[in-house]
Amino acid sequence: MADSAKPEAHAPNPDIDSYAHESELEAHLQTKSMVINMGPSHPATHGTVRLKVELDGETITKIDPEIGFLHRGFQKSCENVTWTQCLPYTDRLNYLSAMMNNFGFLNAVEKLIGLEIPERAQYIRVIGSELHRLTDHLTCVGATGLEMGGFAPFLYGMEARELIQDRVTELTGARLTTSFGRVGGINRDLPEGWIAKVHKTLTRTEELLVEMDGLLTRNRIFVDRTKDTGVITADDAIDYGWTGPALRACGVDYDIRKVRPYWVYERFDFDVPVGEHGDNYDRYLVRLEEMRQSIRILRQAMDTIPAGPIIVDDWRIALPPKPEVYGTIEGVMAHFKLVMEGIQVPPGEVYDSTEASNGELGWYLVSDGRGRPYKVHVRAPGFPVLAALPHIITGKMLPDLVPTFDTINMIGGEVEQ
Amino acid sequence: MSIFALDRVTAQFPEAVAERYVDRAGGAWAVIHADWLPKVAAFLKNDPELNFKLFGSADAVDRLHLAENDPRFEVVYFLYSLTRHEHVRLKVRVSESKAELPSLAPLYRGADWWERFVWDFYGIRFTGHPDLRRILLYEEFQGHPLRKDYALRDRQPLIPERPIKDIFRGPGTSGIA
Amino acid sequence: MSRILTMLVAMATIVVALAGGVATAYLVGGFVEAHGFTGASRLTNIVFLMLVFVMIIATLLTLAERKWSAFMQDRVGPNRARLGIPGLKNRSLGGIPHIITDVLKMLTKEDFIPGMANRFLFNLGPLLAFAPVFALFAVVPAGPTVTVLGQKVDMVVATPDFGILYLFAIASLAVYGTALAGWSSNNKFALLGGVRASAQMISYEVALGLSLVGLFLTFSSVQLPALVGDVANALSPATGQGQYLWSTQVFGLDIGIPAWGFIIQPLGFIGFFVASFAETKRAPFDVPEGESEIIGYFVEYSGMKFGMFMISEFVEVVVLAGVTTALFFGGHNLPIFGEALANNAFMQEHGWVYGTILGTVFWLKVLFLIWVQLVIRWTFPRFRYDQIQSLGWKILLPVGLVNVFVTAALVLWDPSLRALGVVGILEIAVFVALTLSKKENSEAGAHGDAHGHDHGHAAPAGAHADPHPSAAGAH
Repeated sequence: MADSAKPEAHAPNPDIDSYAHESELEAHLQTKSMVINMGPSHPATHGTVRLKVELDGETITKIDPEIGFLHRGFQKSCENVTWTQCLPYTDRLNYLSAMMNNFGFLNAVEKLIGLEIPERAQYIRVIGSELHRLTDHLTCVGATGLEMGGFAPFLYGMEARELIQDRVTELTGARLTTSFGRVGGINRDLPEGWIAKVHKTLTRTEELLVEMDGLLTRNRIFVDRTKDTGVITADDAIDYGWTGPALRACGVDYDIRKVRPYWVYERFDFDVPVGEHGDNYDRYLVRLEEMRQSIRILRQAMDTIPAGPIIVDDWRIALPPKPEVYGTIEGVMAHFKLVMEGIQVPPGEVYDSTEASNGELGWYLVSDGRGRPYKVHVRAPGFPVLAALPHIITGKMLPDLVPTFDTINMIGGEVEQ
Repeated sequence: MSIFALDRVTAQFPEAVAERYVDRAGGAWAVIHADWLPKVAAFLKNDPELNFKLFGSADAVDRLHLAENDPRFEVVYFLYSLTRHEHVRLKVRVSESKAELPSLAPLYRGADWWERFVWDFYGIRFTGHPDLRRILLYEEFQGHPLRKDYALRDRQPLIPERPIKDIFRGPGTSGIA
Repeated sequence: MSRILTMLVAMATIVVALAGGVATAYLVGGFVEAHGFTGASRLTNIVFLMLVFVMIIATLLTLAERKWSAFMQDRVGPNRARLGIPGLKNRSLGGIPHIITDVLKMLTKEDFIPGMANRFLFNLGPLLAFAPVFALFAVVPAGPTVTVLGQKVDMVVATPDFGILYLFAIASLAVYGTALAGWSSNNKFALLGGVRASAQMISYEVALGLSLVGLFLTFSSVQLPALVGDVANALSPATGQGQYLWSTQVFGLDIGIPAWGFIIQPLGFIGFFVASFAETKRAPFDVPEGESEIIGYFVEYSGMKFGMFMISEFVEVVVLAGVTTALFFGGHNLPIFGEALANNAFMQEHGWVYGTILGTVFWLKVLFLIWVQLVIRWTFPRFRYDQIQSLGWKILLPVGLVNVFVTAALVLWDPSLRALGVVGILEIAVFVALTLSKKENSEAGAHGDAHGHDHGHAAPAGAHADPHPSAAGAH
């Protein structure tokens, strides 16, 4: 289709070949596949991913994702700063749900130290995580609609996301890169009257979810586009190392919040939606339902959050309160040592994981006891998901690539570290 | 966690396991000899009782600045069992002079990109890997940046632009200029 | 409250402006007929219909689309541009200054031509996309034939014998612009867009033609003025869509169910509307553009050449609304009171008043159909390329064929069209029932249990149910 090549050298012989005229025609009609280059700057590639797509007509015969345009040396940077200073770097992994990265990293560091954080801090971590799970899924579902031409669901999603980000700003002081939480707890308590505001925001979010649901879920065109496209079987998904909503859409019930509850997740009543076909439509539905479950968790957590300290009272780990810093020599010393030398994490190693918005966010940390991480390995949930893209999409049509790319929700920041 | 799985591995392949220990957070580790890695991984994956089918991730540690640093590299694997709901943590030590490991990519498709990642950043080759290219960095990159002897602010030389092969000369011509 | 008031004022302004335009068109037409040569009014009709009405509506549509989509999406819409006139400086004027800024932006942008492009065809592309769309409107009657200043004046540019065939022929020309633009840009994305556009055009031409055959059978004509028809008066009975299926007199005024195309030919109407929607290449049929997949056939165009593609899309919307009005919504005829108005002594004496009223009615119908198109465009996501093909070949084509045979049989059986009307009204009732019925029935099947632990699905928002039966039937 792309362009007709020159006739082949071995011309048909009309005398001996009864179909000579036809093969001659075929020779003129000879086609060759077309390589197109989607990205690194393309409307459908979130972040900067380059997809080298080989097309036969509209069918994808080969696809090679080329990643790394957003690589910023996450691990190398972390190895050269103190443990607390790693926190801003973790923000930039999944920039749509920074708090989950923050807390996942802190959780692993606390495991490495062997530290139990106060209950209230655990509640705040759950609240922050679920708020950011909402923003992440809202963006994903909205973008799925947007890139299939439905602009309205995207803007409904953005409206809800803006409201939630206003609440996040009130809590953390930043919209996207929150750097919230510290080793041993949380660096600031919930603002006054914040919980009532979040309840209101969640009510509005629920309304907007109904709108998105109404525009997309039963929409015949949307269903046609997403159902039975981007299919992956559960076995393949497991083999590729998928986790999170994308794996659950294949029918595998694996949610770390349920099977290995961390913080206070076991106290809340929530369900884990599971799909069955592993196609785009199921991934979309799972995300939609997870948002409703997140709202349930949030409401329960905000209703039952206990009073108490928000960070451990250990001056080797948490900064001492300011009156102590200004008033006592011990306070000054502890503050100075923490800021200048960092938290002295004892030598050792740990692998720990939390459930981030796109799946298992694993951290393998090695400490040599010198106040800086010796090794920070992050298992970004999007990495294996993107690795399976060629398997899913080869042999399918070019327009299927876009919804598939949306629903697997690969985030450039975490995949490319 | 996963002590049972490692017990099974030790029982099955007594000479494969070089060392076992439990870290502070309760994670059980096993250090495997490099030659045995594919067999151990296949056993963990295919044994119906263990069922470690989900390839979590793989990475390496450059132990250059640690007290104990011979052999220099440690490659770590995290596998997950969806029936036992636990991780198994495997370690393989690799020397600098022979930075080579059998690849797990034929066994786990998920290992493909992670091994490319380890090759890219630590320079450890995986024999039997179908497509061992750099993944995040470009082909012309010199060195392997997560090695501890690669300085934080090292500069890379400028490289010439690669030739682009498939640009047509004018619309609809045969495509070869 | 003030928003509603603003909308009412805006609507009144639109009606007054339309009426003014139509009256001017009739009076100028009568004047040149009387003082110039016979047929001179056709020339002024070119100016009025195409340059004034179609062009101005299309220009305003660029704004209306953005405002209306903003309204649908809980946004404010364009309101940043301000005119530096004292007294107006801090008002957004509903975004109208944005039209000026858009034009200025397009005119002042660099006119970029890719190095490897075929320059001649590259420049020809936008023209080929733009001109045929404009020419389409030539056969659409936008008002009745009335006597002004003693001269007969009609509101149509041309009335060729082949009528609607002209429409088909010219409409298919527009795809040359798209395909050439895609090919000559020397860009793979553009090429894909051009190929998609031509494939889409080919598959929908058939359905487009077939959907109108029923209408031709019904009114035994292919000429648009004949299809639109006239109401009954002292001299002649009603023709075309001017006639009633059933009517009665109330206080000397006639009311009833008119024989409009969408009542007697609902299937034809849906087929035509969907197929022509596909030809305008707007969502949900915008695969040639598909801005998130292949950026579109005009990816290499900039400045006013891109603007030509853009404006031709809007002109297409207006023209499509005009053609649909003439074919299926009774053209300039009123649904009721038509005969009373036509036979009013004052109206017969002052033909231009009569023409003005009916011409305004025509343009209001056009505006309504434009609005329907906007709502559809901003409600639905995009089809996939092969789904568009299967919709065209596997649904619209068979439905069109069935429609032809059913219509022919019914017309043969009952030439008064009443049988056709009954069947048509039944079909419309079925569409409405399908649209309003619980959506759960249609899609609950295979994916219903995808929600593992679902807590009941909230009902889809009613506000975004299908805006029109046509949309429901289309899918």
